Amino acid sequence: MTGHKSYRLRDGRIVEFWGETDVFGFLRRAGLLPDELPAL
Amino acid sequence: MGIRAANTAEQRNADIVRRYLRVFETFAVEELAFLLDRNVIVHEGGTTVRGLDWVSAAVRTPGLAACRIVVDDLFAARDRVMVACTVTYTREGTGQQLTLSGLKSYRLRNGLIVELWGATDVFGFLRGAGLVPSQAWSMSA
Repeated sequence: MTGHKSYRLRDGRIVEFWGETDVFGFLRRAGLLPDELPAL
Repeated sequence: MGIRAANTAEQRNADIVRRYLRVFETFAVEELAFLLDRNVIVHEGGTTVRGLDWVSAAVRTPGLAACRIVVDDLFAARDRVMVACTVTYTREGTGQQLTLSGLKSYRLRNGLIVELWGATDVFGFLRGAGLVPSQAWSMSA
């Protein structure tokens, strides 16, 4: 699973972070989602 | 919202990224040639693609009428710009508002974006749209 994280630090400690991971791709590869989705 | 850029060059890079994000709201894809290298490298969703044409095609998503982007955090340092954002789409036909959170980072050279990395909450977005089963997976599973 690929991910993208961003961290804000102060005085040598992480005080805030943002994260996104490719949950959709992960679930598709695991066969937990249908191969085809309805159109928007 | 945090917006941080230490010097003029970094501020310029941050402005370029903001203009780039605006294209997704305005659909003015002709602007992209002034913001992206023609061979821009895009890393997203576990895949890597290359080229301005790919980005241009990604600006419009079938079924979505409008897009608004709120920059929740932006950090520019050296040749990089990091953005956390929330994108709100309006669904065609129903007018339903759908939100998509994302994290992006950009590498710039000579006033153009030459490489970008991105991750977005596609699964959450599709769940909000009712296009995947809401019980398909959860953190507690």
